[in-house]
Amino acid sequence: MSEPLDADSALVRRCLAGDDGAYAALLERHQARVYSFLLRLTQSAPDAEDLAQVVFLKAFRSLESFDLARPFHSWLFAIAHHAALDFLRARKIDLSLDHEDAAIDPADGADGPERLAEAALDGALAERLIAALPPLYREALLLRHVEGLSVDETAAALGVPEGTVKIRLFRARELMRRKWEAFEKDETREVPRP
Amino acid sequence: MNKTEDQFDRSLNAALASLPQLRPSAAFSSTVLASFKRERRAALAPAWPLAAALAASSAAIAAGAMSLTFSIPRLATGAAKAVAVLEAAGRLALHALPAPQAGAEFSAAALLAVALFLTISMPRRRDTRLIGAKS
Repeated sequence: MSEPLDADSALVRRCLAGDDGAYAALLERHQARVYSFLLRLTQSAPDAEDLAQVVFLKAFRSLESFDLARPFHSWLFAIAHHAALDFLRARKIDLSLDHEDAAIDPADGADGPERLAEAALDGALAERLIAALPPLYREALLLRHVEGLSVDETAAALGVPEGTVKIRLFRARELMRRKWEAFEKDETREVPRP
Repeated sequence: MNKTEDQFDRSLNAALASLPQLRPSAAFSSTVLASFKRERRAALAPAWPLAAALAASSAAIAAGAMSLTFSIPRLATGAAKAVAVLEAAGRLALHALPAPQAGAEFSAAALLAVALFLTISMPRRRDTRLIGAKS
């Protein structure tokens, strides 16, 4: 992990020294991670792309304040977290954690319930389980288990204590397990074809 | 942890680890870099439009104040002129500047301080300065 960190630090130093190519290199290295996180969080490709632009412009503008001892990607995710929360609040999306039983409809996917049951917990179903989580659980799960940040990096990115991250991760997995069990039960039912 | 939970955790870990990284559109990089370059160019550009507008407005206010007499109609006229000049300067500055300029506030404060100094220190017409003085 130290090699990428060193590479990021070197690129940041080159940016601060006025090397335009280093900005392009930093962008190339991190754009897919930031965009993936924002897309899975907002569930909208145009919004995720707009937010990712905001994140990188803000990062480039405040590069002088970046602590070279920290991982660059976790700093970027902290900026992305704030941008995403501002976006969700502006869209009046509920950020509370008191609606854990939000419904997930097994029939709303392109594959249909029979296909999902056959595939067990594959990537497509995982995406839908993630999308059904409340945003604050979703972002913790994405950073920790999809983007591979450590618990303390996730806590730093989200601006919450590590204990809060662990609780959110535990509850996110519990919610996903309950939804998944609902799919398992659907597997045993006969699904009428149209 | 029962068998179902264990099975779920293993499946979930595998599924999450296999999720692909998604990429933005092909134009994303160039759009971000172009926006950033535009911002930097704007920040480095000279602030002469703002400075010129503020200098003009400050000079106009100072000149107006020097020729002002303390009759109420003239005071009102002078104030109206000053407001109009300031508004025009503001419009010009907003139109001319693509982005907030570093030091613009400092320039504005300095120019207004100069205008105020000129207003106070330069000799006024005798009939305005000697109001209330014994003839």
